Amino acid sequence: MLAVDDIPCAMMITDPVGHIVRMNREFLVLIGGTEAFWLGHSMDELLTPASRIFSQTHLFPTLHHAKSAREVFLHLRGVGGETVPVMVNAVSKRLETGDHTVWAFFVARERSRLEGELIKARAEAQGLAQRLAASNEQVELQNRQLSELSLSDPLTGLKNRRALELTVQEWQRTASRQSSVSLLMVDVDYFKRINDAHGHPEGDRVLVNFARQLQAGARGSDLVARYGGEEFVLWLPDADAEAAARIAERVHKCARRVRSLAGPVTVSVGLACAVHQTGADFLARLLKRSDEAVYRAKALGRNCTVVSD
Amino acid sequence: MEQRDRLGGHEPHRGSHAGRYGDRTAAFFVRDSCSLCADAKAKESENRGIWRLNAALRKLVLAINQLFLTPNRARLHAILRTVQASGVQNLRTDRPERTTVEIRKRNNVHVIDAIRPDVPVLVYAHGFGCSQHMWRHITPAFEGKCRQVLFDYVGCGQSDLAAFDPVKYASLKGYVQDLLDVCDALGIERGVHFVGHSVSASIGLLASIERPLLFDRLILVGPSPCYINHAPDYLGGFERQDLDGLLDLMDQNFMGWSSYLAPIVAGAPQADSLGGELSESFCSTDPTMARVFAQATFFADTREELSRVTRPSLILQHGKDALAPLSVGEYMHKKLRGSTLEVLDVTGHCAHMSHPHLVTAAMQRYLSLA
Repeated sequence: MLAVDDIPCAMMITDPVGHIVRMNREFLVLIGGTEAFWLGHSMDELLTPASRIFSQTHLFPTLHHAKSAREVFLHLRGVGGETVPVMVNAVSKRLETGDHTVWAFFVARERSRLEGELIKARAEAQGLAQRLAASNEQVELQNRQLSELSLSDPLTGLKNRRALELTVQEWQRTASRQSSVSLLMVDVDYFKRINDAHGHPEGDRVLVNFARQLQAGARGSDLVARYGGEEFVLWLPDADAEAAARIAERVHKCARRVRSLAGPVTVSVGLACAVHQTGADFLARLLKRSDEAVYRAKALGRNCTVVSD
Repeated sequence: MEQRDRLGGHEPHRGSHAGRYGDRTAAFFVRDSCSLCADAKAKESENRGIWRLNAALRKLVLAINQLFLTPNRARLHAILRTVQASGVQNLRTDRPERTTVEIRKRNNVHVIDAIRPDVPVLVYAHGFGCSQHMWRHITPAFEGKCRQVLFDYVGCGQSDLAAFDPVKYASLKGYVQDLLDVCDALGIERGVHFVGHSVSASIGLLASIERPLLFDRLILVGPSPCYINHAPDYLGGFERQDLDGLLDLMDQNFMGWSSYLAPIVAGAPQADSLGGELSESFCSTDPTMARVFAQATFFADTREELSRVTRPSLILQHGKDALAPLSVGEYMHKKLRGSTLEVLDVTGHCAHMSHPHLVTAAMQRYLSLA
């Protein structure tokens, strides 16, 4: 007959809440003491504080629920006070004297060591993944910023020529066949005089001020761009000649609101309208027409709008 | 419509942010062109860490978890190399659940109705480590006399794991919200008799401070407002290093892991596909979710909140509980106005499982006084 003391595994029998009823020799070698000493003690005393918590929050509920628990990892308090990692199997069993729990403990030092390393490796991998995510965010952010920079005029904050080209291409791709568009070319009058008389900072200030006025008055779908030194372009989709003329009038009003040391600021405006086309030179032709209109506006004495035909 | 802007005096964009996700945090009110907004978004992203990685990378990390089941160094190194090589993207955020159906699914809500209308409502909240099944020996005693509501916190039992948010559930506030969401989803506005085990006692007390009209009485099984010793006046039972040891121990246990991992790894939509398999995850040590709950539970300190509770409560303390010295029960009884303290002749931490008759008897006595 095989006796419990002959089984090469630490074994214990407790009542359903963990009071020790029987311990085999293998177990006593592990934790020290005698069976007589341990009788009646709670098995909590065999465990480290962390294991006690885990036992009460997971192990015992599992035992109550499923009548058994398998492969539960705990730490025992060994004979010298050291921590002994163990794998635990437990099962509820009705014995002659009533309901009991039968426990089997397997010492798992090697497994514990390997798992410790794997846990560390996993934590490192997670840290790595987090850093990857963060640096990806950074790169995306920088890309967005660069993209913004490449489409902006640094002085006025308006969009630049490149942004205008991209916007027009997009519009050509997506707008409907019959839709019209107007392009206003706005040239600040006597700008060179402002620079010469009052210096470039004053000239810059005038441009920035004017740009702000233009941008504030723009609708959502409109694009206000700085086209040249003192030239601005207003791209107005879905605006016909009449609407564009009204906008041109507002542009002059904007100019009037700008204060300058050189006196009142005026602009010459060239207006060109067109119907949707998909050609690659569509924008170039529009710009040429409005540029010529500006030229005629200048010739007419400035501070006016000329419509290209 | 002016949106509340968490970046304060962020003047140029005030009023022009478009909230795509309703009243989510302001970090998502980002205008792509603004570097300040983008910074905030990056920070928020960082906090949400690994949860915003794309599905492929999550799979990789979870595959590393799988190595615990079949240790293999070569595989581990191969996976780490893949992790380093893979690109990483942020997931878009989830829409917060708000409808009744969504909450019932999210928190695996079960209602045991009584045929008679106008009966008292019992809402049960499970403790750390387990799920609503722990109440199954208690509910029969109240069938027909009360309407009984059971649920799982997100991350436990058969809750919807996709709804787990490691920031929300890192503090007890997240669990309080789950409890309130469940009551709201069922249209319960008042008269709740709350039954909470372990950390749920604290969760229930906090909920009653936030919504005093919702609760009638609170029954607290094995409660503790703080597990850490604060010498010389307060004995919680544990030192910090004991609790750190708990988290490590949980990592080396695999209760309820594979049931949790399988749907995530396969990319399948959550709980529906699991069916009966989850009956094994009555207790769970899933490292991502259970660990967060452990952190929230054992490092919480709600002692200062106790005096703000206005609803009457029954403290059912275990006579010998490794998680709560008897002095904790006395402490709570002193701080909770209108509280009753009963020490049960029970060794352990879950009398409602080990000695359910004692718990139901105490509950019946307490509630019939109402």
